[in-house]
Amino acid sequence: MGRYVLKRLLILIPTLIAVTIIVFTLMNFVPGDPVMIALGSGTHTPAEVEAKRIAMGLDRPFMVRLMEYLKGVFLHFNFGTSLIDGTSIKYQLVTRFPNTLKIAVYSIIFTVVIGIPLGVFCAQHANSVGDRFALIITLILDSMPSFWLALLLMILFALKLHWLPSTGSGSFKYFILPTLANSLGGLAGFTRQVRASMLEVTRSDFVTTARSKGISERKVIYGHALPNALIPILTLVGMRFGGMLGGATVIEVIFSIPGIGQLLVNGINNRDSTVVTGGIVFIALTFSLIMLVTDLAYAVVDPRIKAQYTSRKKKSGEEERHHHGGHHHGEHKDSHEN
Amino acid sequence: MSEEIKKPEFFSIRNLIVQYKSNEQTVYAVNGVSFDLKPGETLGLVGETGAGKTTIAKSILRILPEHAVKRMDGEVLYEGQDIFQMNDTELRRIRGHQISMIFQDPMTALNPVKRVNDQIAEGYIQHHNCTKAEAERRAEEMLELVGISADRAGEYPHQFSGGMKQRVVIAMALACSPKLLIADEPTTALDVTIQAQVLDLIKRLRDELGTSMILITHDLGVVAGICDRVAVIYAGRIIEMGTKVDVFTKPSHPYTIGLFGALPDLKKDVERLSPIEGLPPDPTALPEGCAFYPRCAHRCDKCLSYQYEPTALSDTHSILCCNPMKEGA
Repeated sequence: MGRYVLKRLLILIPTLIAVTIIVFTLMNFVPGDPVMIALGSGTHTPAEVEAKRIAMGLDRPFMVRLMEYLKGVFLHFNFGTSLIDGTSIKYQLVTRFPNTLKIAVYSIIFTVVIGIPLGVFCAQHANSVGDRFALIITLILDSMPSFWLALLLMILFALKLHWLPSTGSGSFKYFILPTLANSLGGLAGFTRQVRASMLEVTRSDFVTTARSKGISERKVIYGHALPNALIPILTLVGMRFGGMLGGATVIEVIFSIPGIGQLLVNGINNRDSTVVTGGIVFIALTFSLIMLVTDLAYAVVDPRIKAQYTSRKKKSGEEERHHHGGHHHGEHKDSHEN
Repeated sequence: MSEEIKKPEFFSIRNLIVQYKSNEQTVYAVNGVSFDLKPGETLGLVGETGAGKTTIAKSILRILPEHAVKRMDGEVLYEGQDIFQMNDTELRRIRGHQISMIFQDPMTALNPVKRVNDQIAEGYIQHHNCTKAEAERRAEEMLELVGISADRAGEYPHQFSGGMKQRVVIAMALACSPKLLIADEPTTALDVTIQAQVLDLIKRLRDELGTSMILITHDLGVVAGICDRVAVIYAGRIIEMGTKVDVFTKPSHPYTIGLFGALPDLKKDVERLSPIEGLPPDPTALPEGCAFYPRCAHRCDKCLSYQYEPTALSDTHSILCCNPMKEGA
C-alpha cells in the first residue's frame, strides 16, 4: 500500500509539470502585453515600457522564463506576483483556499448525506410513488441553473426571511446558502446513480444469500448491498469533490466569497496572466491529490482492489509458502481473480 | 406410509404455483407442485434448465426476486406451519436456521467485500444469542469442517478458488445446523474434479448432521449418488416421482425414459445417443393439455385434453401421463 501511494505521488510530478508547461505556454500566447497590463492605463513612453519589460524579466527568451517558472513553482511553491497589484499569488491562493475548501466539503457532505439515503430509498421502493416524487423533485432542482437557484435562495432566505446573510464569508451561516446552491443541482444525478447502483446490487446473488441467512432486511441492505453499491459512487464523489476544489466559480462570484474560483475569474477579467496560470496549476494539484485519495478510498471499501495494490509483495510471500508445502487441500489461492 | 398421515409432515409442499411477469407476458414457472419430505430424507429435483427447479427451491425460503413475481400460491408446510403465511419475523427464524440453502454459483453467492468468517458468523449470531467471538469460533469450526484451514477465516472471497468458495457457501448454509438443506445445483459451476469433492462433502455432512435435503440438479449421476427419492420436473410440474430405484429401474414417463436414453451407457454399444427431440415449451405460452406432447414419442389424442391427474404406479411411484409406456421401453 505504502509503495502504491509513493508510486502515485511520483507520477503526480510529471503530470503537474506537463500541466504547468501547457498552461504557461498558452498564457504566453494570449493576446495582451503583460507589460502594458502591469503598467496600467495612461500613457507611457516607449522607454518606460522597455524599462518595465526588463524589470519583469520579459525580455528574456520563453524557454528561460518557463524554466524559471517551473523552478519557482516546484521548488519554492512560488507562483510569482499579480500583474495588476503585485501581490504574491501564493499568498492569494493560501488565503482563499480555505473558503473554497469549505464550500466543497460542505457541498459534498450535503450531497452524500441526502443523496445516499434518498437513492437507497428510491431503489428499495423502485417505481413507487415515493420514488417518482423524489425523481421529479430532484430533476426540477437539476434543471435550475445554479446561478438562478442561488439568486432565488438569496431572495427567500436573506431578503425576505432575513435568516441568513446574502453575501460574504465568515462564520458557518455564510456558507449555508452557497452550499445549497452549489449542491442541490447535482443531487438529482447523484441520487439516480445511487439508486441505479443499489438496484443492480440488490438483485445480485449475494444479497439473496444474505437474505437466506435470516438476517434483518436492514442488515441486508446496509450491511451487504450498500457497501458494494458505493464502490462506483466513490468515483463520482471524488470527481465532484475535485471539481469543487477548483472553485465553484459561479457560486463564489454571486455570493462574493473570496475563493479560488473568484480569483480565477478576476484574473481572467483583468488579463492577469500570472494569476490565471498560478490558479490553474494549483487546481490541477488539488484535483490530482483528490483523485489519489479517491483511489485509495477504493482500497478501503473493496478488498479486491487493495489486493491489487499490495499484490507484488504478497505474491512473492505466497510463492515461498508454496515451496515449503504449507498449503492445504491442493486448491490454489488466487489473489488476482479479476 | 399410511400410519404417518395423522402427524404433521416434517416438510411438504402443496400445489405450489409461481408465475413471473416479464414485460407484458406471464411466465408460468411452477404450475402446481406437491411433495413431502421425511426427516433425514434426500429428494432430488431433476429437470432441464428452465423447468422451474430453482424457482421451487427459492420459493421455499421466499427469496424469489419480489419485483419479478406475479403470483405465488400454494402451501409450503414446515412442521405443520405454512411458510407462505408467516410474517417477516417468523420467516427470518426459519431462514438459515431451520432451512438453509446452498446456491448454484459460488462466484456470485458470496459478498465480495466481507470476510468469509463474518459471512458465516452473521447467520449464527442472528439465530443464537451469542457474542461475536463465539460466532467467529463457530465460523472457524465450520471452515475446518468443510476442509478449509481456520487461519484463512479472515480472508475475502476473491482469495479463494471456485471450489473453496463453494465450501465456504456450504459452511455458511450448515453453520446453524439446519433441519433441511436445499442445494441448488451445488456443483454446476465447478469443474469436474472439484464436483466430486464437493458432492462427497455434502453427502458426508448430510449424514453426519442428519439433515434432510432437497438436491436440485440436471445430472442424473448426482441423483444416483446421493438421493433417496427423485422428482422429475418438466415445465413446472413433477411429471414423475418415486424412489431412486423406481425411477432408475422403471422410468415410466416418456420424458424420463427420454432422459435416460440421452445418457451414455457403458454396457451397451450404441452408435449415437438418442436425445429428446425438440425444445422445452415456452413457459409464457404453455400448450393445452400435456406440456410434453409436442416432443413425446408416445403421444396420443387423449394427451391434448390431459388435466394432469396423477397415475400411481405403486405406493411410492407416480407419474403425470395419460398414456404411459409399458414397462421396459
